[in-house]
Amino acid sequence: MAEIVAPRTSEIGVGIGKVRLLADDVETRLGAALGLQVPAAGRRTSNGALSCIRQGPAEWLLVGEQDLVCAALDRVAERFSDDVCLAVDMSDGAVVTNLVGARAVERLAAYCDLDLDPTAFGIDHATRTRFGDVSVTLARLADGDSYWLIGDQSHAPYIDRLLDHGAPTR
Amino acid sequence: MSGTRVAGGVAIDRSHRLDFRWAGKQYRGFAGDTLASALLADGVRLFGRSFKYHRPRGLIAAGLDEPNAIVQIERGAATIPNLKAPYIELYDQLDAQPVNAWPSLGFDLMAVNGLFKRFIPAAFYYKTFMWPNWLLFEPLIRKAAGLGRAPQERDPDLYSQTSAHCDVLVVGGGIAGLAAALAAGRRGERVILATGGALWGGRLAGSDQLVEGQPATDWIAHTLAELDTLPNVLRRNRMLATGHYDQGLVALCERMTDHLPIDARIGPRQRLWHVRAGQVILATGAFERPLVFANNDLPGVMLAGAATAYLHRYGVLVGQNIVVATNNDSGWHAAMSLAQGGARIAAIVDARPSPATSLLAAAEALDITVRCGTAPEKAVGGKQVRAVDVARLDAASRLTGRTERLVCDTLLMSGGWNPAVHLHSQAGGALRLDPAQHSFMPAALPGSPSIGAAAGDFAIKTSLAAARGTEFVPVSTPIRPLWSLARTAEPDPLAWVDFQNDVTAADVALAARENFRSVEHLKRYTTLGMASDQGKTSNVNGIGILSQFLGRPMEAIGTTRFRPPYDPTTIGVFAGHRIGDGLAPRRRLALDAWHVAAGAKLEEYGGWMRPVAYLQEGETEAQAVAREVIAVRTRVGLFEASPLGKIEVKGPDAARFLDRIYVNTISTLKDGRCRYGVMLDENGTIFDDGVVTRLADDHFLVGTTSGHASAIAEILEEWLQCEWVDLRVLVQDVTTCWAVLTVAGPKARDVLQTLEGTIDWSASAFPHMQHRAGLIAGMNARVARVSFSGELSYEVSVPWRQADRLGERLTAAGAVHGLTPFGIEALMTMRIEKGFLHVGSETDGTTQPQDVGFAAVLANKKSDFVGRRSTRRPDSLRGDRRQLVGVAVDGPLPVEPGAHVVTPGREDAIGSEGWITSSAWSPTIGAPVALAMVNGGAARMGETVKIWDLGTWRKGRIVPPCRYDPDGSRLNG
Amino acid sequence: MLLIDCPWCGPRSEREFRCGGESHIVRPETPDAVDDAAWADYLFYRHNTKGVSFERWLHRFGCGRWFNVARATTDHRLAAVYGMTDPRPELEDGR
Repeated sequence: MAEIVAPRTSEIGVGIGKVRLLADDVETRLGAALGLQVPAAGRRTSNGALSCIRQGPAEWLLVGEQDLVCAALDRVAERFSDDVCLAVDMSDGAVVTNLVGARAVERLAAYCDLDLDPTAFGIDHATRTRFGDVSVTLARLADGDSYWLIGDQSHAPYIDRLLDHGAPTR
Repeated sequence: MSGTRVAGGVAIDRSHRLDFRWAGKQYRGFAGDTLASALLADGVRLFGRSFKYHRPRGLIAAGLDEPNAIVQIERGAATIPNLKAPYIELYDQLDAQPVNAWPSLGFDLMAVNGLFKRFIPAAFYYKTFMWPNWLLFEPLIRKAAGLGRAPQERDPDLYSQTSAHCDVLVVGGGIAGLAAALAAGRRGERVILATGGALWGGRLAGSDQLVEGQPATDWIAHTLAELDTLPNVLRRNRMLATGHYDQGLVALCERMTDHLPIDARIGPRQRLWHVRAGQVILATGAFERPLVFANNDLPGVMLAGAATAYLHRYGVLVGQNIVVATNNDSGWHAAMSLAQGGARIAAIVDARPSPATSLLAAAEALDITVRCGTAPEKAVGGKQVRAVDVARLDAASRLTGRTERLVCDTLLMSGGWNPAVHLHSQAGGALRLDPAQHSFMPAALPGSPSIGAAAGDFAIKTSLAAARGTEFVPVSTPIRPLWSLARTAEPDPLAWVDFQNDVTAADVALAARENFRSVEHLKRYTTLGMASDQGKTSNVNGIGILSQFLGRPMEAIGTTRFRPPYDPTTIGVFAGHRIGDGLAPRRRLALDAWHVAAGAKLEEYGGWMRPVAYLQEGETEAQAVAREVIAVRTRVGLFEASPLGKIEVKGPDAARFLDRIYVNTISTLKDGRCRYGVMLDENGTIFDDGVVTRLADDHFLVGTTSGHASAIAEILEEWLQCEWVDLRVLVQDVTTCWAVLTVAGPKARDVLQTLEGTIDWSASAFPHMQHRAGLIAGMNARVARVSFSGELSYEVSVPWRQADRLGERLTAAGAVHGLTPFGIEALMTMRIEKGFLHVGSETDGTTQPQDVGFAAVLANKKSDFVGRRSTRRPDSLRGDRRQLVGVAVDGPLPVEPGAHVVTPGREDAIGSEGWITSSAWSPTIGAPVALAMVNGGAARMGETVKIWDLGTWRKGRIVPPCRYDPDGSRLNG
Repeated sequence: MLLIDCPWCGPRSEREFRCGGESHIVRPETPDAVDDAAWADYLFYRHNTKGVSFERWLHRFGCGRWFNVARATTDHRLAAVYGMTDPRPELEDGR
């Protein structure tokens, strides 16, 4: 079997948290609870240990080590206890695939209609989009050359199958 | 006399010879040849037999407009029919076969059809072969028709797709396209340049005509070299634009391996590109028109431009003694090019009475005979052309006077040029008829300019200017339109318009006489333009002939609608990765490996691979199911219910919101309690059912049927975002965060009590339809005491990745009680025994809650909810609606779901009383059980019915749906 | 295949969206109070304009938000994109 040229690692069990809020003055308060600056639409921010991706106007995804994410979710729930707040640990429900290298874009472009040119989707850009027939969160990481592809864990075999289909081989 | 190889040919590499087979014979060609050029070079003229009349046919074109040389390549799974010989790049060991001829091209028995031509004109099948029954003739006609054989095996190739974005997409790699791409590239824009064939340069590839002071070949090479220095430019050959859609989206099919020897091919065969461009520049060129005269389909009669292409690209001279018939200047240019390449031009026949003096002078200098105001009347020959009869044209462009016979082995024709406006039109661009060229030209289309020949501009200077962004008006020498050449107003029955579908000029007149006067009717009645060349050499001629015949201007007749694909495109490339398991994400349970190890037979249910049953040594499926049911009813069973939807609904208005969503009242549910709820759509139809749990005053867990969670979550969001925007509620689907194991049976409590944890399982502390959260064996757990089997049952949810641990603990704890894994079939059997609804089995698109036993719930709900009003329509209030009942079937075998239920005595009447919706063998009561939806069923208890079960009449009795433990004592234990 | 300018995410391919049909359909305040004809009108009757169609779209594979689009049914030009609860915009000349 020819070796596929597009190194990647997939992990289940990376800490993933979901925050939905109906509240006032969200940015400041959420930022304080998380310990980082809250991202604008289509962006990811990070304090080194915890990343936050804005998936919708009032919807955020947290990524990091599971303990840190759970602790952050607790702080969010506490700070917004008088508002409407859903802060859920989704670590068991997600798979995070790390795509690396020049070929990564080619693999993504095969299944995703986003403009992935660095001028259109630059470092720390992050968004929910379509990958084949499933929903994923895609983020370009700080090195510019690697990506997170975060999807539902039950879609992991499907995502793998797509990444391998028609992939360039040596 | 026929084709030969001469000097030149920009595409071929004479140092690299290739071997290939055609019609069972070995041939040789060069790398860079096409199948057509290599065969032409070897003197082959006969390439096929026509579709209907099996007339001998040869090449007329040099590209994908070729209508005659339709061939099949390779064999078995790799065979591909319906390819055009000039568009097949030659590779080593290519095996190509002619089609539609038996036993051979040269001696084709079906040529006898030609003798019956009078009786089988266009659309003959609408008028003949009908009595006594056309179906008698249809198989024979179908067998006699068709070019090529469809593959009988699966497509062995892999196909992929990709998405791309750019500022400028240039379609077409001729001079104009190259210049446009370079101009945009130099401006720093993101450019994609695509050409469908292998060669760059279009009509000027291999030509030494001067472009900006350089021979064309040099200009092309220099432009390509500069393009390759620009990182913002992507250029691809073998990438054919197949469709032009909204907002700058163009689909292109890239042929990755078709040109390689079979054993050198790796990776996907073709790739479909979806390119979203800020601007789409169409430099798609133009197609030459044939002349329409008697026997214009003889092998050796070709398009003039094609002959030039074969010479310049492949170093192939198409014939030794050539006559050129034309109505425009380009025919003369072709003659000069060929003469320069060593051809003997016997004569140039121009329909125009006074061609330009420069042309006349050039011909005289080469000693070429010239006839003006003259056109071909008939080509003469058997299996190839050996002469052409020409005659003068009168003022009405009809042939008149004596014929003159010109001996030749090749007749080149040029009736004018049609810009390739397909992509322009697909995107909604309008067309206008050019009065000088008598061709349809593209009108302005914002975001998608046409340049070069695609815009009717055949001059190098103006094409380049347009490519670089200058506005211009193309100037051209008028042609003399000749739509069909004949002596009278009646078109000739042997003058061919659509070569591939065997449509003649007389067929066009026939259609008009039969009142098929619109161009769309002409197309479908005669099949003109419907073959694999999609009318590239026939559509405009057909419109011209119709125009002449009806006396209506061409612009009033218009063209037929242009639709993608531009050229036949293989279905596999549209599928891409969506084949097999790639067609839909197929999901696996948390304990997938454990189920398989335990003997589970897995099948797909709602996108999830789930155990049907666990087959033990020597068991049939039916035996396994029966064993599992008995185990659950008498001891305890284990079932994985992870696909059940789980949606968190939270907020101060959550209860109010859910009251509007469910038939049931949810707001009265207390903390820690569960309620079975039914959801309708606004049409009153049951859409989903599931258990709703209240976790706290403002926090609910909505359960949905397996596989339906994301759809339901989407519906909840839709109501909150679009209609009830003031409600303060948040929704989150958490289905795949939690694995669910169901422990069911009289011993269920005993098993669970042995696990260490914080939950009190005793009957008094944990009644039926309640929910507890806590720790089980150190794991965070949510437990709902709900039952689909009808036994004491607990659905235990733990975080998905801890399912293994829970499974192990339960298996260990359950061993002493005979804990038995059970699958979907056992669960379904038990719920049928209990008369429990299964949405999608008992319910269909018409079922409302009152039909399945929820009339009381409906009546008691005081506030409005989705679908409520629809349950109060007159039709919803009918007493004889189909209602849920049980059917006690006279055994021993169960009946099939879908079997119709009929009143005894009315077996021969039309219609039925309803049908069986679910059915199973019940090991619990030792008889078949069934549920059905029967007209007015609730009032028909005890009634005897007949059931039409797959060809046999069975007997049954209408009974209440629940056949086991009707008072629910086992549930409430 | 359309290019739709999601108010929240920017221009995205149509494949990320789902069309929710005609917009500005008003659900009767008290469904019980309307007659069958009015209820049927709400459920089933829709305009079929050769011209501008006002539609709801969901950015299903993106931000998950609903919004409104004014789309020309003859040439698929998107004349306007506006909020889910905003009123129908005035368009010049129906173009």
